[in-house]
Amino acid sequence: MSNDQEPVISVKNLTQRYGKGRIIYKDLSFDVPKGRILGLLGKNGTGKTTTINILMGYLRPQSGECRIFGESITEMKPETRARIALLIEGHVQYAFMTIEQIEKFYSKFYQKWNKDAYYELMRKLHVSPNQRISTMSCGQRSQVALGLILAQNADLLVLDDFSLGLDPGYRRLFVEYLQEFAKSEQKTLFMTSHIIQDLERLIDDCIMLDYGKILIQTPVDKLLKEFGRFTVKLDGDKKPELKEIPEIVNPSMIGNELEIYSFKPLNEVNQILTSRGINTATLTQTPMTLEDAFIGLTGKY
Amino acid sequence: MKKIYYLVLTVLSIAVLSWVLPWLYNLCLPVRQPDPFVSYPPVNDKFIVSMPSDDRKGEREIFEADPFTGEKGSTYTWEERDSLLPEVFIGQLSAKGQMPDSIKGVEITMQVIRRNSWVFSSNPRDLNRSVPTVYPLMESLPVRFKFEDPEVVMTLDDGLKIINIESNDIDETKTKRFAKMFDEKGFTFPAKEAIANITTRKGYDNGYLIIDWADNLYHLKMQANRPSMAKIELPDSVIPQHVFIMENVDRMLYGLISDKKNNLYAIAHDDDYTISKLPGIKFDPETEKMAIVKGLFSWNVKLSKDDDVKWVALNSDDYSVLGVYDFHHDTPVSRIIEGWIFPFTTYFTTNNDLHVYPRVGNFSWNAFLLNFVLAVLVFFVAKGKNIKCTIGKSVVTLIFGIFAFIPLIILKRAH
Amino acid sequence: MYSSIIFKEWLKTRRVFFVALALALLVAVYVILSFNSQIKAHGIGALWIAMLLKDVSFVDAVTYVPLAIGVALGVAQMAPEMASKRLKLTLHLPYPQVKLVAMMLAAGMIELLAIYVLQAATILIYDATIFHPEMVGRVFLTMLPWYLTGFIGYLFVSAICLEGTWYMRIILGLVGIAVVLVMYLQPGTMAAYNHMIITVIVLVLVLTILSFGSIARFKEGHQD
Repeated sequence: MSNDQEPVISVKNLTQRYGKGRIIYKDLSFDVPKGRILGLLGKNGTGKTTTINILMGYLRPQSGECRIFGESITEMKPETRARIALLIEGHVQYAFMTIEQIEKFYSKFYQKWNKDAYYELMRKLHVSPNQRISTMSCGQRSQVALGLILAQNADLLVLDDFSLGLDPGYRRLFVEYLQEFAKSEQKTLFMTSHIIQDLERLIDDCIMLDYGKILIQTPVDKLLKEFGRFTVKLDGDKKPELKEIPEIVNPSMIGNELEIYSFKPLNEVNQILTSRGINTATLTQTPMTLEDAFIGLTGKY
Repeated sequence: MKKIYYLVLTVLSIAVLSWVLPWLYNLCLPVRQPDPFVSYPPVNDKFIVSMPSDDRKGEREIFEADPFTGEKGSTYTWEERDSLLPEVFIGQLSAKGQMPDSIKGVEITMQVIRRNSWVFSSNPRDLNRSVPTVYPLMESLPVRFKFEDPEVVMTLDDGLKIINIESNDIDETKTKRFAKMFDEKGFTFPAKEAIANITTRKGYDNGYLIIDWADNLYHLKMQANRPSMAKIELPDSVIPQHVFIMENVDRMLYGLISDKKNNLYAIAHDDDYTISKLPGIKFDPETEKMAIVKGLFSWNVKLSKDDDVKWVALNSDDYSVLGVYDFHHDTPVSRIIEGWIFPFTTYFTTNNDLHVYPRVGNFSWNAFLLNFVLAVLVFFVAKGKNIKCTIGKSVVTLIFGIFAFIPLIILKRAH
Repeated sequence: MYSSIIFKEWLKTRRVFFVALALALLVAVYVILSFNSQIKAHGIGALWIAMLLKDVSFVDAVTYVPLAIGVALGVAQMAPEMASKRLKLTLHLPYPQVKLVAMMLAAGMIELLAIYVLQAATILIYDATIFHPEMVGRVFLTMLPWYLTGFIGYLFVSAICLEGTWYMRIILGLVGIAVVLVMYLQPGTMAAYNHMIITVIVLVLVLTILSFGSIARFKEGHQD
């Protein structure tokens, strides 16, 4: 059994490739502590869904070890699986069941099943209890999947790209429910999304994946506090050589404006640029969202 | 679980391929080997052999062969051959007006030939099959002299029962009557074999020849709804294995018996059921085909098994051997090549039976050359982390050859 | 949990089950009706002779029906599991996975068995009123391999549906076709499979491993 100090998810030296070809990542290690909401961010193809598949035991990694609640994922006991709620990409559920049938089906598997949580959400959908899931819209299906996750009352929620195919209303609904649920009940969440805005309202920590490696793992508020975006107007539109400076990330030019990102405060950035002969009279730090930080760290393409 | 899965799939693939591949091979390279036409003419005491045509023009080699050495003699044209075999080619000869009036002093007419000729054949398929032990019983003396479909059947397992077909009930009266007769004749139940020729299209009915559990042979007929039964006394040395009922036009025989030593005997259609051994014939009905063409003067018995064919000509009057001719089909090249490719063949059906079940045959040591090459290939191509496993795969390929090579390579990719 | 798993399998298969049952019974009724018309035309005697001497079983119409039903049920039951990788949901259920798959297969095979038993019983009970018990037994032994082929078809199709890669699906499909072909090698001969009935029953039991293998492969990540 796990204790409170032990991370809920622990990944050590995970290496995975596409078949025998390109490395998705090498020696990936991270922990998700209890009660935290962690977002796994990365561009397409950086291995977000792959990581979730490995964690849930649907993919055997080339090497490395993953433990959830202290248990190796390759030999996970049914009781441990009962403590994990899983949302598959695309809110896939048993589409051949009706709203009522699927609730009945799952309720038998989970001791802590909270029927009311499910039906509360279902009431919002204005669908008949006998309606089959396959006849519902993508948004409605996502709510059924969410309802089931909430009803399961699991200790760990693993959500793979919950925002896929949802309009802003449903996304907002999803996020708000999750947020309330997670915070009030000290749940641990591990999630991915390709819409980072959604995650910003929700997650405590983020891991940003780049091709083959982790760029950063940090609490979101710390990231937004320490990581900054700076702009400065240049005399010409020629991009200065800044690539070899480790403190400066992803410099780019928009017209004659230079945009840079850095973990250094404004005055230090000013010094660095000045030492490179750049006129920093117009240097300003602009406020950032998580999405901006993500772009800043991973680049625009 | 996964290991068992791959093992099951590999074994299943080997089994399936050892059936499918040789089958496909033979489908692409079919072998057609017609037998020569061999006949024993009444006039010149030598076999006339018409070889099957090698080409599409239908040119055939026709020659005479010594009745004992098989040595080739004069050759003939088609026309000459036809005139030597008037009983066989009666139609052609009559049309040309070339039919002889008599042969060996016997007047020859269409009628005489018809009354004295018959054909009999036996195929292992008729014996090697699941047969019901419910025997329809015909009335041998129909009231209007016209045979009708049987109205009763009999069973001869732990005792005799006669069942009325229409009602599917036991016919108590007949059962008692027949059971009494069987008892009187000393019949030992159950019957091993009971053979009749149940058809309404025949001139007369010879009823059943039955071998009982104690290897005694009986002859049973139902005449006017009553049993007519006789125990056929066999020489002590004869333990009957199979019986063949005959209802030939010449009414000379009740049928034939083959015994456990593969001898063949004729049962004469007389009151004593006289048994005559047919000399020069060794016949196992379960593995060999037999065809008898009986003419005025001789029996032409053709026995075939695999690639060997044998003709025995017997004198119609006293069954003395007139001649024996052997023929062996050469192994075709495609079969020889097959032996270099496939170490064995799995088959489910054969021409000799009507059962379906897996059998393995056509073992060929020649294929081990290919097996060896493939085993070496497997060692290097299907190499895994586990050396024992790799060696195991090679050994399996060495034994099962191409049948193991294909699934091992294919499944290796699926891992 | 037990009832929930059965419930899920039933939801997936109930439509196909009822259609298949109706089809199976229709074929049984057709066999009986055509048999009746033959009795009127030729008399019972001729039919006894036909069965005893010419190997006419009067159940030819049944030949491929069990296979078709087995395949349809396999698709109905297992295809929804693979659509959108829904199998992940099933495997995530807090229930021992081997037991879970075994129960899924058992549910499908019990449904098949029910259909087959009802069809065979309809035909054989009717036959028993007309034919000698041994002949009824031979009709049963003639149909039995067809029903076993239905199970074989079901198990191969299940494994193919649960398999995640096309490569392996094709291999399973080819092996499956070959095995099924073996079961139709001697049409027109009654009780031709008597010598291998036990072998085929063992084969059916062995073939259940295929679905477990497909799932083991899925869990390893063998998915297109």
